[in-house]
Amino acid sequence: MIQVKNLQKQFGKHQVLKGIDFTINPGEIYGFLGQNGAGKTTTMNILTGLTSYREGDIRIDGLPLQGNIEKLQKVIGYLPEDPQFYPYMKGIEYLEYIGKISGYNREDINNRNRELLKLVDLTEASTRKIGGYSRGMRQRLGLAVSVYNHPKILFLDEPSSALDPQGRRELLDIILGLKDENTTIFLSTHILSDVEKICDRIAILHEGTIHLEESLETLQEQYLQPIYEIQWEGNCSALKDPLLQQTWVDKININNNHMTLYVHDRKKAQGKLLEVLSEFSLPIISLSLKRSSLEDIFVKVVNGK
Amino acid sequence: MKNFFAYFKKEFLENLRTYRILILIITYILFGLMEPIMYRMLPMILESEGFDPAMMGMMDTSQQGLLRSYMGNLSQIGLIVVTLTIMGTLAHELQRKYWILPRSKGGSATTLVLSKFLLYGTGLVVATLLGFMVNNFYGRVLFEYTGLDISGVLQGGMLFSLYFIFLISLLFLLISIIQKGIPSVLLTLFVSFLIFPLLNNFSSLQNFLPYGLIEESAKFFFDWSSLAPVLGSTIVLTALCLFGTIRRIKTMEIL
Repeated sequence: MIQVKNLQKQFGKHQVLKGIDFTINPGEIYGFLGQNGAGKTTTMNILTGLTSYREGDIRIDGLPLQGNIEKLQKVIGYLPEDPQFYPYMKGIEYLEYIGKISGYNREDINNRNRELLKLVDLTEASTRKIGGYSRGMRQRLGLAVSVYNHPKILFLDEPSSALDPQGRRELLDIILGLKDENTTIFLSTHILSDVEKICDRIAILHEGTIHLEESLETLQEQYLQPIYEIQWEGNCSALKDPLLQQTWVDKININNNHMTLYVHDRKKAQGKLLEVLSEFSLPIISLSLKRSSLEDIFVKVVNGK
Repeated sequence: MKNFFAYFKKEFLENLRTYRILILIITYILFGLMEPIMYRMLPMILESEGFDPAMMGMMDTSQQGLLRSYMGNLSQIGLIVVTLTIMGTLAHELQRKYWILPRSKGGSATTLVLSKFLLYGTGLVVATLLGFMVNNFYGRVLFEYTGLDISGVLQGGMLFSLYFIFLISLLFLLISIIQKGIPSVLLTLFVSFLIFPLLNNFSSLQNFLPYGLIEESAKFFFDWSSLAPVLGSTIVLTALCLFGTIRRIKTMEIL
Protein backbone atom coordinates (compact mmCIF):
# COMPACT_ATOMS: atom_id res chain seq x y z
CA MET A 1 0.00 0.00 0.00
CA ILE A 2 2.89 2.37 0.84
CA GLN A 3 6.41 1.89 -0.46
CA VAL A 4 9.15 4.28 0.53
CA LYS A 5 12.67 3.99 -0.81
CA ASN A 6 15.67 6.09 0.11
CA LEU A 7 13.58 9.02 1.33
CA GLN A 8 15.70 12.06 2.17
CA LYS A 9 14.74 15.45 3.53
CA GLN A 10 16.81 18.40 4.55
CA PHE A 11 15.84 21.61 6.37
CA GLY A 12 18.65 24.10 5.78
CA LYS A 13 21.84 22.29 6.76
CA HIS A 14 20.04 19.78 8.95
CA GLN A 15 19.29 16.50 7.24
CA VAL A 16 16.18 15.17 8.97
CA LEU A 17 15.73 12.00 6.91
CA LYS A 18 18.88 10.28 5.68
CA GLY A 19 17.42 7.77 3.27
CA ILE A 20 14.67 5.73 4.89
CA ASP A 21 13.02 2.66 3.39
CA PHE A 22 9.88 0.88 4.48
CA THR A 23 6.85 -0.88 3.07
CA ILE A 24 3.38 -0.96 4.59
CA ASN A 25 1.02 -3.72 3.56
CA PRO A 26 -2.71 -3.18 2.91
CA GLY A 27 -4.87 -3.33 6.03
CA GLU A 28 -1.88 -3.15 8.35
CA ILE A 29 -1.42 -0.90 11.38
CA TYR A 30 2.15 0.34 11.18
CA GLY A 31 3.61 1.94 14.30
CA PHE A 32 6.16 4.63 13.57
CA LEU A 33 8.23 5.36 16.66
CA GLY A 34 11.03 7.73 17.42
CA GLN A 35 12.24 10.37 19.82
CA ASN A 36 11.07 13.99 19.55
CA GLY A 37 12.64 15.56 16.47
CA ALA A 38 13.45 12.18 14.91
CA GLY A 39 11.53 13.11 11.74
CA LYS A 40 8.23 11.26 12.26
CA THR A 41 5.99 14.28 11.53
CA THR A 42 8.19 15.27 8.59
CA THR A 43 7.77 11.77 7.15
CA MET A 44 4.00 12.02 7.59
CA ASN A 45 3.85 15.48 6.02
CA ILE A 46 5.82 14.16 3.04
CA LEU A 47 3.60 11.10 2.63
CA THR A 48 0.46 13.25 2.77
CA GLY A 49 1.80 15.65 0.16
CA LEU A 50 2.13 18.60 2.54
CA THR A 51 5.92 18.81 2.36
CA SER A 52 8.30 18.27 -0.52
CA TYR A 53 11.27 15.91 -0.36
CA ARG A 54 14.77 16.05 -1.70
CA GLU A 55 15.27 12.52 -2.89
CA GLY A 56 13.55 9.18 -2.78
CA ASP A 57 10.82 7.14 -4.33
CA ILE A 58 7.35 7.02 -2.76
CA ARG A 59 4.48 4.94 -4.07
CA ILE A 60 1.08 5.05 -2.44
CA ASP A 61 -1.77 2.80 -3.52
CA GLY A 62 0.30 1.84 -6.56
CA LEU A 63 0.91 5.42 -7.71
CA PRO A 64 4.06 7.51 -7.42
CA LEU A 65 3.44 10.39 -4.97
CA GLN A 66 5.17 12.91 -7.24
CA GLY A 67 2.65 14.18 -9.76
CA ASN A 68 -0.31 12.40 -8.14
CA ILE A 69 -0.67 14.32 -4.89
CA GLU A 70 -4.15 15.68 -5.63
CA LYS A 71 -5.39 12.26 -6.75
CA LEU A 72 -3.88 10.51 -3.75
CA GLN A 73 -5.25 13.06 -1.27
CA LYS A 74 -8.68 11.66 -2.12
CA VAL A 75 -7.72 8.25 -0.68
CA ILE A 76 -5.66 9.57 2.24
CA GLY A 77 -6.76 10.78 5.66
CA TYR A 78 -4.45 12.77 7.93
CA LEU A 79 -4.75 13.73 11.56
CA PRO A 80 -1.94 16.11 12.61
CA GLU A 81 -0.60 16.04 16.15
CA ASP A 82 -2.37 19.25 17.16
CA PRO A 83 -5.17 19.80 14.64
CA GLN A 84 -6.16 23.45 14.24
CA PHE A 85 -9.65 24.62 13.35
CA TYR A 86 -11.33 27.96 12.71
CA PRO A 87 -12.41 28.87 16.25
CA TYR A 88 -15.49 30.80 15.09
CA MET A 89 -16.95 27.73 13.35
CA LYS A 90 -19.19 25.16 15.00
CA GLY A 91 -18.14 21.51 14.86
CA ILE A 92 -20.94 20.63 12.47
CA GLU A 93 -20.14 23.61 10.23
CA TYR A 94 -16.52 22.52 9.99
CA LEU A 95 -17.48 18.99 8.99
CA GLU A 96 -19.85 20.42 6.39
CA TYR A 97 -17.01 22.55 5.03
CA ILE A 98 -14.74 19.49 4.77
CA GLY A 99 -17.56 17.53 3.14
CA LYS A 100 -17.96 20.19 0.46
CA ILE A 101 -14.20 20.38 -0.17
CA SER A 102 -14.19 16.60 -0.51
CA GLY A 103 -16.89 16.89 -3.18
CA TYR A 104 -19.84 15.32 -1.31
CA ASN A 105 -23.43 16.35 -2.03
CA ARG A 106 -25.79 17.79 0.60
CA GLU A 107 -27.47 14.49 1.51
CA ASP A 108 -24.19 12.58 1.82
CA ILE A 109 -22.74 15.39 3.93
CA ASN A 110 -25.67 15.26 6.37
CA ASN A 111 -25.45 11.47 6.68
CA ARG A 112 -21.67 11.42 7.03
CA ASN A 113 -21.73 14.22 9.63
CA ARG A 114 -24.24 12.33 11.78
CA GLU A 115 -22.23 9.12 11.46
CA LEU A 116 -18.90 10.72 12.33
CA LEU A 117 -20.15 12.88 15.18
CA LYS A 118 -21.56 9.74 16.76
CA LEU A 119 -18.32 7.86 16.15
CA VAL A 120 -16.19 10.49 17.90
CA ASP A 121 -18.85 11.27 20.51
CA LEU A 122 -19.28 14.93 19.60
CA THR A 123 -22.96 14.94 18.63
CA GLU A 124 -23.99 17.18 21.52
CA ALA A 125 -21.01 19.52 21.19
CA SER A 126 -21.36 19.84 17.42
CA THR A 127 -23.47 22.99 17.63
CA ARG A 128 -20.91 24.74 19.83
CA LYS A 129 -18.08 26.87 18.48
CA ILE A 130 -14.79 24.96 18.15
CA GLY A 131 -13.00 27.79 19.96
CA GLY A 132 -14.60 26.47 23.15
CA TYR A 133 -13.56 22.83 22.64
CA SER A 134 -10.97 21.15 24.86
CA ARG A 135 -7.81 19.73 23.24
CA GLY A 136 -9.26 16.23 23.47
CA MET A 137 -12.46 17.34 21.71
CA ARG A 138 -10.42 18.98 18.96
CA GLN A 139 -8.43 15.78 18.58
CA ARG A 140 -11.67 13.80 18.20
CA LEU A 141 -13.03 16.30 15.68
CA GLY A 142 -9.71 16.00 13.85
CA LEU A 143 -10.17 12.25 13.71
CA ALA A 144 -13.65 12.72 12.22
CA VAL A 145 -12.17 15.05 9.59
CA SER A 146 -9.35 12.63 8.79
CA VAL A 147 -11.72 9.72 8.08
CA TYR A 148 -14.38 11.87 6.37
CA ASN A 149 -13.59 10.65 2.86
CA HIS A 150 -13.44 6.93 3.83
CA PRO A 151 -9.66 6.91 3.30
CA LYS A 152 -7.84 3.78 2.23
CA ILE A 153 -4.80 5.01 4.13
CA LEU A 154 -4.95 6.91 7.39
CA PHE A 155 -2.02 8.85 8.84
CA LEU A 156 -2.32 9.51 12.56
CA ASP A 157 0.28 11.70 14.24
CA GLU A 158 0.17 11.26 18.02
CA PRO A 159 -3.62 10.81 17.91
CA SER A 160 -4.09 9.97 21.58
CA SER A 161 -1.65 12.42 23.14
CA ALA A 162 -4.41 14.81 24.29
CA LEU A 163 -6.94 12.20 25.33
CA ASP A 164 -7.85 10.91 28.78
CA PRO A 165 -7.60 7.12 29.43
CA GLN A 166 -11.26 6.58 28.48
CA GLY A 167 -10.83 8.65 25.29
CA ARG A 168 -7.66 6.75 24.45
CA ARG A 169 -9.37 3.41 24.80
CA GLU A 170 -12.21 4.61 22.57
CA LEU A 171 -9.71 5.88 20.00
CA LEU A 172 -7.93 2.53 19.92
CA ASP A 173 -11.29 0.82 19.38
CA ILE A 174 -12.03 3.20 16.49
CA ILE A 175 -8.62 2.47 14.95
CA LEU A 176 -9.17 -1.28 15.28
CA GLY A 177 -12.63 -0.81 13.71
CA LEU A 178 -11.01 0.97 10.75
CA LYS A 179 -8.51 -1.88 10.41
CA ASP A 180 -11.45 -4.29 10.23
CA GLU A 181 -12.69 -2.21 7.28
CA ASN A 182 -9.27 -2.84 5.68
CA THR A 183 -7.95 0.70 6.19
CA THR A 184 -4.17 0.86 6.25
CA ILE A 185 -3.01 2.90 9.23
CA PHE A 186 0.28 4.68 9.70
CA LEU A 187 0.49 5.57 13.37
CA SER A 188 3.04 7.72 15.09
CA THR A 189 2.81 7.82 18.87
CA HIS A 190 4.81 8.11 22.05
CA ILE A 191 2.39 5.95 23.96
CA LEU A 192 4.09 2.60 23.51
CA SER A 193 1.41 0.64 25.33
CA ASP A 194 -1.01 1.75 22.56
CA VAL A 195 1.41 0.48 19.94
CA GLU A 196 1.65 -2.87 21.73
CA LYS A 197 -2.14 -3.13 21.76
CA ILE A 198 -2.90 -2.39 18.12
CA CYS A 199 0.11 -2.37 15.81
CA ASP A 200 1.00 -5.23 13.50
CA ARG A 201 4.47 -3.97 12.71
CA ILE A 202 6.66 -1.18 14.01
CA ALA A 203 9.59 0.87 12.85
CA ILE A 204 11.90 2.90 15.04
CA LEU A 205 13.22 6.06 13.44
CA HIS A 206 16.38 7.38 15.01
CA GLU A 207 18.78 10.06 13.80
CA GLY A 208 17.18 10.12 10.36
CA THR A 209 17.35 6.40 9.67
CA ILE A 210 15.16 3.44 10.47
CA HIS A 211 17.03 1.44 13.09
CA LEU A 212 14.52 -1.34 13.38
CA GLU A 213 11.52 -2.59 11.44
CA GLU A 214 9.79 -5.74 12.55
CA SER A 215 6.47 -7.31 13.41
CA LEU A 216 5.66 -6.84 17.08
CA GLU A 217 5.57 -10.58 17.69
CA THR A 218 8.99 -11.23 16.17
CA LEU A 219 10.39 -8.28 18.00
CA GLN A 220 9.24 -9.44 21.38
CA GLU A 221 10.60 -12.89 20.61
CA GLN A 222 13.98 -11.43 19.62
CA TYR A 223 14.20 -9.30 22.71
CA LEU A 224 13.15 -12.01 25.20
CA GLN A 225 15.36 -11.86 28.24
CA PRO A 226 16.81 -15.00 29.85
CA ILE A 227 14.90 -14.36 33.07
CA TYR A 228 12.12 -16.47 34.58
CA GLU A 229 9.65 -15.18 37.14
CA ILE A 230 8.34 -17.95 39.43
CA GLN A 231 5.63 -17.57 42.05
CA TRP A 232 5.57 -20.34 44.69
CA GLU A 233 2.81 -21.22 47.12
CA GLY A 234 5.05 -20.56 50.14
CA ASN A 235 8.48 -19.23 51.05
CA CYS A 236 10.99 -20.52 48.52
CA SER A 237 14.31 -19.53 50.17
CA ALA A 238 15.28 -23.17 50.68
CA LEU A 239 15.18 -23.81 46.94
CA LYS A 240 17.91 -21.32 46.08
CA ASP A 241 20.96 -23.56 46.77
CA PRO A 242 19.75 -26.66 44.92
CA LEU A 243 18.85 -24.54 41.88
CA LEU A 244 22.20 -22.76 41.85
CA GLN A 245 23.88 -26.15 41.42
CA GLN A 246 22.45 -26.34 37.91
CA THR A 247 25.11 -25.30 35.38
CA TRP A 248 22.64 -23.24 33.27
CA VAL A 249 21.53 -21.10 36.25
CA ASP A 250 23.33 -17.79 36.63
CA LYS A 251 21.81 -16.23 39.74
CA ILE A 252 18.62 -16.22 41.81
CA ASN A 253 16.82 -13.45 43.66
CA ILE A 254 14.21 -14.41 46.23
CA ASN A 255 11.57 -12.26 47.85
CA ASN A 256 9.44 -14.46 50.13
CA ASN A 257 7.48 -16.67 47.70
CA HIS A 258 8.61 -14.87 44.55
CA MET A 259 11.71 -16.05 42.71
CA THR A 260 13.58 -14.38 39.83
CA LEU A 261 15.79 -16.90 38.05
CA TYR A 262 18.53 -15.68 35.68
CA VAL A 263 19.88 -18.26 33.25
CA HIS A 264 22.97 -18.35 31.03
CA ASP A 265 21.32 -20.20 28.21
CA ARG A 266 17.59 -19.75 27.61
CA LYS A 267 17.28 -22.73 25.25
CA LYS A 268 18.96 -25.13 27.66
CA ALA A 269 16.88 -23.75 30.52
CA GLN A 270 13.69 -24.25 28.54
CA GLY A 271 14.41 -27.99 28.31
CA LYS A 272 15.48 -28.54 31.90
CA LEU A 273 13.60 -26.01 34.02
CA LEU A 274 10.24 -27.76 34.37
CA GLU A 275 11.91 -31.09 35.12
CA VAL A 276 14.06 -29.57 37.88
CA LEU A 277 11.22 -27.56 39.40
CA SER A 278 8.92 -30.56 39.52
CA GLU A 279 11.33 -32.29 41.91
CA PHE A 280 10.50 -29.77 44.63
CA SER A 281 7.52 -30.47 46.86
CA LEU A 282 6.52 -26.78 47.00
CA PRO A 283 3.68 -26.11 44.53
CA ILE A 284 4.13 -23.47 41.82
CA ILE A 285 1.44 -20.81 41.31
CA SER A 286 2.87 -19.27 38.16
CA LEU A 287 5.91 -19.37 35.91
CA SER A 288 6.68 -16.95 33.12
CA LEU A 289 9.52 -15.88 30.91
CA LYS A 290 10.09 -12.18 31.37
CA ARG A 291 9.32 -10.32 28.16
CA SER A 292 10.88 -6.98 27.24
CA SER A 293 8.28 -4.28 26.98
CA LEU A 294 8.27 -2.17 23.82
CA GLU A 295 9.64 0.59 26.00
CA ASP A 296 12.70 -1.55 26.88
CA ILE A 297 13.21 -2.35 23.19
CA PHE A 298 12.79 1.30 22.18
CA VAL A 299 15.33 2.47 24.76
CA LYS A 300 17.78 -0.25 23.67
CA VAL A 301 17.47 0.70 20.02
CA VAL A 302 17.80 4.46 20.46
CA ASN A 303 20.68 4.08 22.91
CA GLY A 304 22.39 1.61 20.59
CA LYS A 305 22.55 -1.10 23.27
CA MET B 1 -17.02 25.97 -8.67
CA LYS B 2 -18.64 23.88 -5.92
CA ASN B 3 -15.33 24.10 -4.11
CA PHE B 4 -15.27 27.87 -4.53
CA PHE B 5 -18.73 28.25 -2.99
CA ALA B 6 -17.62 26.15 0.01
CA TYR B 7 -14.69 28.49 0.58
CA PHE B 8 -16.71 31.62 -0.08
CA LYS B 9 -19.39 30.51 2.37
CA LYS B 10 -16.69 29.85 4.95
CA GLU B 11 -15.21 33.33 4.39
CA PHE B 12 -18.66 34.86 4.66
CA LEU B 13 -19.28 33.02 7.93
CA GLU B 14 -15.89 34.17 9.21
CA ASN B 15 -16.90 37.75 8.50
CA LEU B 16 -20.26 37.40 10.15
CA ARG B 17 -18.56 36.15 13.31
CA THR B 18 -15.38 38.25 13.36
CA TYR B 19 -17.06 41.46 12.09
CA ARG B 20 -14.06 42.36 9.88
CA ILE B 21 -16.00 43.88 7.00
CA LEU B 22 -18.48 45.46 9.39
CA ILE B 23 -15.55 47.17 11.14
CA LEU B 24 -14.36 48.49 7.76
CA ILE B 25 -17.81 49.78 6.80
CA ILE B 26 -18.31 51.52 10.16
CA THR B 27 -14.82 53.06 9.96
CA TYR B 28 -15.41 54.37 6.45
CA ILE B 29 -18.86 55.76 7.32
CA LEU B 30 -17.57 57.40 10.51
CA PHE B 31 -14.74 59.07 8.60
CA GLY B 32 -17.24 60.14 5.94
CA LEU B 33 -19.53 61.59 8.56
CA MET B 34 -16.87 63.31 10.65
CA GLU B 35 -15.31 65.23 7.77
CA PRO B 36 -18.28 67.57 6.92
CA ILE B 37 -19.13 68.01 10.59
CA MET B 38 -15.54 69.01 11.40
CA TYR B 39 -15.46 71.42 8.44
CA ARG B 40 -18.74 72.93 9.63
CA MET B 41 -17.59 73.33 13.21
CA LEU B 42 -14.02 74.41 12.55
CA PRO B 43 -14.78 78.17 12.20
CA MET B 44 -16.57 78.12 15.56
CA ILE B 45 -13.72 76.18 17.17
CA LEU B 46 -11.18 78.63 15.75
CA GLU B 47 -13.20 81.58 16.98
CA SER B 48 -13.62 80.16 20.47
CA GLU B 49 -9.85 79.57 20.65
CA GLY B 50 -9.17 83.19 19.68
CA PHE B 51 -8.11 82.54 16.08
CA ASP B 52 -9.45 84.37 13.07
CA PRO B 53 -12.24 82.26 11.48
CA ALA B 54 -11.10 83.65 8.14
CA MET B 55 -8.24 81.14 8.38
CA MET B 56 -10.80 78.68 7.03
CA GLY B 57 -10.32 80.42 3.71
CA MET B 58 -6.95 78.66 3.47
CA MET B 59 -8.78 75.33 3.29
CA ASP B 60 -10.61 73.98 0.28
CA THR B 61 -14.17 73.82 1.55
CA SER B 62 -15.75 72.99 -1.78
CA GLN B 63 -17.72 69.77 -2.24
CA GLN B 64 -14.76 68.20 -4.03
CA GLY B 65 -12.36 69.59 -1.41
CA LEU B 66 -14.35 67.89 1.32
CA LEU B 67 -14.21 64.56 -0.50
CA ARG B 68 -10.49 64.96 -1.20
CA SER B 69 -9.85 65.63 2.47
CA TYR B 70 -11.85 62.50 3.28
CA MET B 71 -9.77 60.53 0.78
CA GLY B 72 -6.60 61.89 2.38
CA ASN B 73 -7.69 60.58 5.77
CA LEU B 74 -8.72 57.24 4.33
CA SER B 75 -5.46 56.74 2.51
CA GLN B 76 -3.59 57.22 5.78
CA ILE B 77 -5.52 56.19 8.90
CA GLY B 78 -8.04 54.26 6.80
CA LEU B 79 -5.31 52.17 5.21
CA ILE B 80 -3.87 51.27 8.62
CA VAL B 81 -7.33 50.12 9.77
CA VAL B 82 -7.91 48.15 6.54
CA THR B 83 -4.58 46.30 6.58
CA LEU B 84 -4.75 45.53 10.30
CA THR B 85 -8.32 44.26 9.96
CA ILE B 86 -7.71 42.09 6.92
CA MET B 87 -4.24 40.69 7.73
CA GLY B 88 -5.60 38.00 10.07
CA THR B 89 -7.68 36.28 7.44
CA LEU B 90 -4.69 34.89 5.56
CA ALA B 91 -1.99 35.14 8.23
CA HIS B 92 -3.97 32.89 10.59
CA GLU B 93 -4.50 30.26 7.89
CA LEU B 94 -0.74 29.92 7.53
CA GLN B 95 0.63 30.87 10.95
CA ARG B 96 -1.95 29.01 13.05
CA LYS B 97 -2.03 26.16 10.53
CA TYR B 98 -5.81 26.28 9.95
CA TRP B 99 -4.98 25.50 6.34
CA ILE B 100 -3.46 22.03 6.99
CA LEU B 101 -6.66 19.99 7.37
CA PRO B 102 -8.49 21.46 4.36
CA ARG B 103 -5.31 21.10 2.30
CA SER B 104 -4.90 17.46 3.34
CA LYS B 105 -8.41 16.93 1.94
CA GLY B 106 -7.38 18.35 -1.42
CA GLY B 107 -8.27 21.98 -0.64
CA SER B 108 -7.15 24.38 -3.34
CA ALA B 109 -4.81 27.30 -2.60
CA THR B 110 -6.22 29.16 -5.62
CA THR B 111 -9.76 28.94 -4.25
CA LEU B 112 -8.61 29.87 -0.76
CA VAL B 113 -6.89 33.06 -1.92
CA LEU B 114 -9.47 34.08 -4.52
CA SER B 115 -12.45 33.62 -2.20
CA LYS B 116 -10.79 35.83 0.42
CA PHE B 117 -9.80 38.39 -2.19
CA LEU B 118 -13.27 38.50 -3.70
CA LEU B 119 -15.00 38.90 -0.35
CA TYR B 120 -12.68 41.57 1.05
CA GLY B 121 -12.46 43.31 -2.31
CA THR B 122 -16.25 43.53 -2.49
CA GLY B 123 -16.39 44.60 1.15
CA LEU B 124 -13.90 47.39 0.48
CA VAL B 125 -15.80 48.65 -2.58
CA VAL B 126 -19.05 48.70 -0.60
CA ALA B 127 -17.41 50.41 2.40
CA THR B 128 -15.72 53.03 0.19
CA LEU B 129 -18.83 53.83 -1.83
CA LEU B 130 -20.91 54.09 1.35
CA GLY B 131 -18.28 56.32 2.94
CA PHE B 132 -18.13 58.58 -0.12
CA MET B 133 -21.93 58.83 -0.27
CA VAL B 134 -22.25 59.62 3.45
CA ASN B 135 -19.54 62.26 3.13
CA ASN B 136 -21.23 63.77 0.09
CA PHE B 137 -24.71 63.64 1.67
CA TYR B 138 -23.65 65.50 4.82
CA GLY B 139 -21.61 67.90 2.71
CA ARG B 140 -24.76 68.73 0.78
CA VAL B 141 -26.85 69.04 3.96
CA LEU B 142 -24.37 71.20 5.88
CA PHE B 143 -22.95 73.29 3.06
CA GLU B 144 -25.82 73.14 0.57
CA TYR B 145 -23.54 71.93 -2.23
CA THR B 146 -25.05 71.30 -5.64
CA GLY B 147 -22.17 70.94 -8.10
CA LEU B 148 -21.00 67.31 -8.00
CA ASP B 149 -23.62 64.69 -8.79
CA ILE B 150 -23.81 61.20 -7.31
CA SER B 151 -22.28 59.57 -10.39
CA GLY B 152 -19.09 61.62 -9.96
CA VAL B 153 -18.92 60.65 -6.27
CA LEU B 154 -19.34 56.96 -7.14
CA GLN B 155 -16.74 57.12 -9.92
CA GLY B 156 -14.25 58.70 -7.52
CA GLY B 157 -15.10 56.12 -4.84
CA MET B 158 -14.72 53.24 -7.26
CA LEU B 159 -11.22 54.27 -8.36
CA PHE B 160 -10.21 54.96 -4.80
CA SER B 161 -11.33 51.50 -3.68
CA LEU B 162 -9.41 49.90 -6.57
CA TYR B 163 -6.18 51.27 -5.10
CA PHE B 164 -7.03 49.63 -1.78
CA ILE B 165 -7.89 46.39 -3.55
CA PHE B 166 -4.44 46.40 -5.10
CA LEU B 167 -2.94 46.94 -1.64
CA ILE B 168 -4.87 43.91 -0.31
CA SER B 169 -3.32 41.74 -3.01
CA LEU B 170 0.10 43.12 -2.04
CA LEU B 171 -0.65 42.40 1.62
CA PHE B 172 -1.65 38.81 0.73
CA LEU B 173 1.59 38.32 -1.20
CA LEU B 174 3.69 39.62 1.69
CA ILE B 175 1.82 37.44 4.20
CA SER B 176 2.38 34.36 2.03
CA ILE B 177 6.10 35.13 1.95
CA ILE B 178 6.68 36.30 5.53
CA GLN B 179 3.84 34.24 7.06
CA LYS B 180 3.36 36.86 9.75
CA GLY B 181 0.65 39.52 9.85
CA ILE B 182 2.17 42.62 11.48
CA PRO B 183 5.45 42.71 9.49
CA SER B 184 3.42 42.28 6.29
CA VAL B 185 1.14 45.18 7.28
CA LEU B 186 4.15 47.39 8.06
CA LEU B 187 5.69 46.58 4.66
CA THR B 188 2.41 47.32 2.86
CA LEU B 189 2.17 50.68 4.65
CA PHE B 190 5.82 51.35 3.85
CA VAL B 191 5.10 50.79 0.15
CA SER B 192 2.00 52.99 0.19
CA PHE B 193 3.31 55.79 2.40
CA LEU B 194 6.90 55.98 1.20
CA ILE B 195 7.81 53.95 -1.88
CA PHE B 196 4.88 54.98 -4.07
CA PRO B 197 5.07 58.74 -3.28
CA LEU B 198 8.83 58.54 -4.01
CA LEU B 199 8.37 56.69 -7.31
CA ASN B 200 5.57 59.07 -8.21
CA ASN B 201 8.20 61.78 -8.65
CA PHE B 202 9.52 59.99 -11.73
CA SER B 203 7.39 61.08 -14.68
CA SER B 204 8.13 57.86 -16.59
CA LEU B 205 6.63 55.78 -13.75
CA GLN B 206 3.81 58.11 -12.76
CA ASN B 207 1.38 56.79 -15.34
CA PHE B 208 1.85 53.18 -14.32
CA LEU B 209 1.81 53.31 -10.53
CA PRO B 210 -1.37 52.09 -8.79
CA TYR B 211 -0.81 55.12 -6.57
CA GLY B 212 -2.02 57.18 -9.54
CA LEU B 213 -5.54 55.87 -8.86
CA ILE B 214 -5.75 58.22 -5.87
CA GLU B 215 -5.07 61.20 -8.13
CA GLU B 216 -7.49 59.84 -10.73
CA SER B 217 -10.22 59.34 -8.14
CA ALA B 218 -9.86 62.98 -7.06
CA LYS B 219 -11.08 64.04 -10.53
CA PHE B 220 -14.50 62.43 -9.83
CA PHE B 221 -14.92 61.20 -13.38
CA PHE B 222 -13.30 58.53 -15.56
CA ASP B 223 -10.70 60.46 -17.52
CA TRP B 224 -9.77 57.53 -19.73
CA SER B 225 -6.77 59.24 -21.34
CA SER B 226 -4.84 59.26 -18.07
CA LEU B 227 -6.77 56.50 -16.31
CA ALA B 228 -6.21 53.68 -18.84
CA PRO B 229 -2.45 53.11 -18.22
CA VAL B 230 -2.83 53.38 -14.43
CA LEU B 231 -5.83 51.06 -14.41
CA GLY B 232 -4.12 48.58 -16.73
CA SER B 233 -0.93 48.40 -14.67
CA THR B 234 -2.94 48.14 -11.42
CA ILE B 235 -4.91 45.18 -12.79
CA VAL B 236 -1.70 43.49 -13.98
CA LEU B 237 0.10 44.11 -10.67
CA THR B 238 -2.90 42.89 -8.66
CA ALA B 239 -3.07 39.72 -10.76
CA LEU B 240 0.68 39.19 -10.31
CA CYS B 241 0.42 39.61 -6.54
CA LEU B 242 -2.45 37.11 -6.38
CA PHE B 243 -0.62 34.67 -8.64
CA GLY B 244 2.49 34.98 -6.44
CA THR B 245 0.41 34.42 -3.30
CA ILE B 246 -1.25 31.29 -4.70
CA ARG B 247 2.04 29.91 -6.00
CA ARG B 248 3.74 30.53 -2.66
CA ILE B 249 0.95 28.84 -0.66
CA LYS B 250 0.89 25.88 -3.05
CA THR B 251 4.59 25.24 -2.65
CA MET B 252 4.71 26.08 1.04
CA GLU B 253 6.44 23.55 3.28
CA ILE B 254 4.30 22.50 6.20
CA LEU B 255 6.57 21.71 9.12
